[in-house]
Amino acid sequence: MGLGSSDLGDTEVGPGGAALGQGELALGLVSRTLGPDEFEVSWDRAQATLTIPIGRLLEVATALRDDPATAYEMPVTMTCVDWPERDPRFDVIYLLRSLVHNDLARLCVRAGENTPVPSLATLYPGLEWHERECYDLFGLTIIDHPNLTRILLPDDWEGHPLRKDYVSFGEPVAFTHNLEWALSPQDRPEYLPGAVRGSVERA
Amino acid sequence: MAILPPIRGDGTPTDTVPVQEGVPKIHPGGQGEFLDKIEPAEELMELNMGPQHPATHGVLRLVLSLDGERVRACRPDIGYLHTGFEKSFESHTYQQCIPLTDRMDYLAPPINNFGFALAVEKLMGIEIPLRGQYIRVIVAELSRIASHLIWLGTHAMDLGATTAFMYCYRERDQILDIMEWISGVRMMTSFIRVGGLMADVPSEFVSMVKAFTAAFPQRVDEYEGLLTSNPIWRQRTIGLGVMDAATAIGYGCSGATLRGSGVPYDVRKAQPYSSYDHFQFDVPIGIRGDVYDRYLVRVREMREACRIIDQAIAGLPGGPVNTADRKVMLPPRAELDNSMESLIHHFKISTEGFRPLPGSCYSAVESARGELGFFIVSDGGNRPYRCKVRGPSFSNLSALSEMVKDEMVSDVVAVIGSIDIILGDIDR
Amino acid sequence: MGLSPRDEALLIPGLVRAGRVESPAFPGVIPAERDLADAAAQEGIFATTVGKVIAWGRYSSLWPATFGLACCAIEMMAASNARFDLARFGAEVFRASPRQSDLMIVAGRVSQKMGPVLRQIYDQMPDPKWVISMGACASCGGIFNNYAIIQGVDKVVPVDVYIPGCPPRPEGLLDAVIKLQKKIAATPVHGIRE
Repeated sequence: MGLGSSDLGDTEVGPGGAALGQGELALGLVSRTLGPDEFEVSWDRAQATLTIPIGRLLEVATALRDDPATAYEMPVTMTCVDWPERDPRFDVIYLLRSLVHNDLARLCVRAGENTPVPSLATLYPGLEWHERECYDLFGLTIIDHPNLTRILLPDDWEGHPLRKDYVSFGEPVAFTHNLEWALSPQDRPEYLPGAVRGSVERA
Repeated sequence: MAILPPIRGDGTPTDTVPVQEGVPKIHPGGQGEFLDKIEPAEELMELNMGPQHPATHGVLRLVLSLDGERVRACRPDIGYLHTGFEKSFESHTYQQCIPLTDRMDYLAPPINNFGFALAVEKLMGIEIPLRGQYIRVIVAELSRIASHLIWLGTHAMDLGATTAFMYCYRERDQILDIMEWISGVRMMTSFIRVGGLMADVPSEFVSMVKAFTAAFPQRVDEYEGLLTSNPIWRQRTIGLGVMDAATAIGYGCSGATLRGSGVPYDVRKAQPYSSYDHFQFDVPIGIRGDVYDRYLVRVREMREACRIIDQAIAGLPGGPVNTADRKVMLPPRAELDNSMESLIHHFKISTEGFRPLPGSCYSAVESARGELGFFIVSDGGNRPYRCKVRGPSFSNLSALSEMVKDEMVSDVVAVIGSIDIILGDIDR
Repeated sequence: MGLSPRDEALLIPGLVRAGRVESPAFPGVIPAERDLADAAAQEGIFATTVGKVIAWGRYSSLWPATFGLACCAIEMMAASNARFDLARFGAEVFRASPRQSDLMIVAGRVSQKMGPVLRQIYDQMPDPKWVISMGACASCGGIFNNYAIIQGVDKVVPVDVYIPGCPPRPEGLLDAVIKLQKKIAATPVHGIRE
C-alpha cells in the first residue's frame, strides 16, 4: 500500500528514547573546534545559544552537519534580532536540528549592517530562502548567495521593515482626539465638544 | 453615433476610476534574470502561474521554465500575502498577539495560538493545569482534522475529483460548529491563550466531540473509498513529485511532506508538549516520497488525530483550565469584589500585560503542515522584542523546485497540492 | 368590449378574457379590464421593461472570479459548499479567468505586492462588473494597520458592497450577494444619462 508505520512506538520521545537535547552536542563540537575565547555559550530557559565569530561560521556549520556525532542536518530557521544601540547591531541566529540525535542547536553570529555574512545555502538548501528573507527585512549583507533578491516585499521597495528604526504605519485611525489627521483641512470642525486635542506625535 | 466608453454596473465609465496615490505600480523585477541562471542547453519557455490561479492554494506565483511540456526549473515567487506579522508582534502585548497569530495559518488557527502560547509560557516559565492541556490537545487535533479536510478537498478538486470537496466541507462545518460552541467564532477563535484558555468549555462540548469522533472514521472510509484505490487517482499521483529523505531534510521540510519521504519526525513525539506523551498514537510515514504517499500519510493522520481526541475526551480531568499565576491570567471576576490584590492584578494585566524576564526561547508545535516554531526574544518589556515565526510551509515550498523537476507541467498542480502549503505561513 | 381602439389594435389574437368573471360577492358586476398587461397576464405573458429583464439576468447569474487571497477565501469556499450554498443565488460558477467573470469578491488582505495584480485582474474583467470587498482587511486594512497591507481595496478598485467581519460568516457573504443583487436591480442599464 505504500505506507509504513514509524518505529517510534507509542510513547517514546525519539530514537534511543532521549528527550530533546538543547544543543549540548553542538556545544561539545564547538568547544573542540574553536578556542575557548572564540565562542560564548549562554543558557537561557534551558536552551543553549552558541555565539561564534563570523569567520568561523562556515567551518563550524559544515562540521556540525558532517560530523556523525552531531549530524545537524535539518535547518530549522534563520533569523536576525536587531539591537540598534549596540554595534554590531544584528544577532544572526541559526537553528539547526539533528534528527538522528534529537538535538536542537542555536548558533549566533554578530553582524553589522555591512558586515558580510557567508551564505550557508550550499550546506543547507533550506536556508537559501531564509537568508533572502533576512536580507529583505533586515538588510543583512550576505555573500556567496545564489540569488540574493527580495523575497517578501516588492523588488523596488525601499527600506528594511524589521529594523527597529523603520516606522511601520498604515494610516491613521480616526478617533475624536486625532480628527485633524483623518479629515482634510476644510472638513475639520472648529470645535469638537468633549474631545481633547492631542499632539500629532501621539501614536 | 458616438462610441460610448465602457461602463460599470452603476453607469460610471471605467476609465475614469482612478487608482489612488501611493499604490505601487506593477514592478518589472526579476523575470528576465531568471533564465540567465539556467544552463541554456535547450530552448526554454518561461511560463507564469499565478498569483491569481485557482490551484495554487493562495496567492503564489510560480515561474516555470518549460522545455515543451517538461518543467526544467521552477521558481516560486512569494510575498503576495506578506502581512508584516513579525513587525506587528513588536507593537502588541503578548496576549494581544494571540489574535494576530490566528491569521497566519488560517486553515487551523487554534494551532497557531497553541504554538505562540506555549512559547510565551516557556518564556515565562509557567505551565497550565492538566485539564487545560487536554482541552488544548483536543482543540488542536480537531483543527488538524479540519485543515486536512480542506487539504483533501482542494487537492482532490485540483485533480478533478470535485465530490471530495463537498464531502470534506460537510465534516469541516461540524468541526467549526464545535469551535463556535466553545469560543463564539468559527475560524479565528483565539481560544488558546497565554496561560490557558479563553474559558472553560461548555458542558455540551464532550458530547459534541464524542458525536463527531464516533462518526468520523466512517467518513474517512468514504474519502478513501473515493480516492485511495481509484486507478485514476493512483495513476495521477504514484511516482509523481518524488523527493528523497536527504533532500527533504536538507530543505528543512517537516510534517507530512517530510514523513512522506520516510523520515519519522513528528514534533509531538520528538519533544512532547502539553501532555501529548499521555496519548498513544502512530506517526504514519511513506516509502517513496511521492504525491500518493503524502496523501496516504495525511489521511492516516486524520485517523490518528481522531484517536487522540478519543483518548483525551475519555481521560479529561476536572479542575481549572488556566494557570493560577495572577501575573499572567486574569483572576476570576468574583474575586475582584473581595481582594484588592486581585483588582490590582486585573488592572495590571488588562492595561500593561505581563513582562517576561529578558532572554529568548524557541518552541515548536506540530501544526497540520509541519513544525511551527516561535522564536521569541524578550527585553523585559510587555511586548515581544522580536518574534520570529518558523512557518512550516516556507521550508516545504522551497523544496518544490526539487519535486517538479522534469515533471509535466500539468502535474505541477498535483505536487503543489501534496505539499499542503498555506501562504499565510509562508509570507507572514 | 370596453377596450379603446388602440388596445384593440394591439390585442393578441386568441386572448381569452378569463379575468372578466362575475364574482358571487358582487352579483351583477363584471370587472373591467384594467389594461393590456392585466389581460396578457392571463395568458402567462408579462409586461415589463427591457431594463428590468436585463438587470434580472445580470444579478441572477453573477459569475465570480476566483480571487480568494487569505482567510476570507476559506469562508467563501464554505459559502459555495453544501451547507450555505451560494448556488441558490446563482453565483456558484467561479471562473478562473477574469475575462469570463463579472464579480470580483476580494476575499482577504491585499499586500503591497498584490495591489497591482488586483488592479490588473479588475481591468481584465469585462463590463458590467462589480466588486465585493469581503472582510475587514479588504474593506479597510483590518487589524493590519502596517506597512505591508493596503488599507482597503477601495484604494485600488471601486467597491460596490463591503462586508465586515474577520472573517465574515458565510451568511455574511450571502447577504452581500443579495444586497448586490438589489443594487443591480436598481441600476439603469442604458448607460449614462447626460
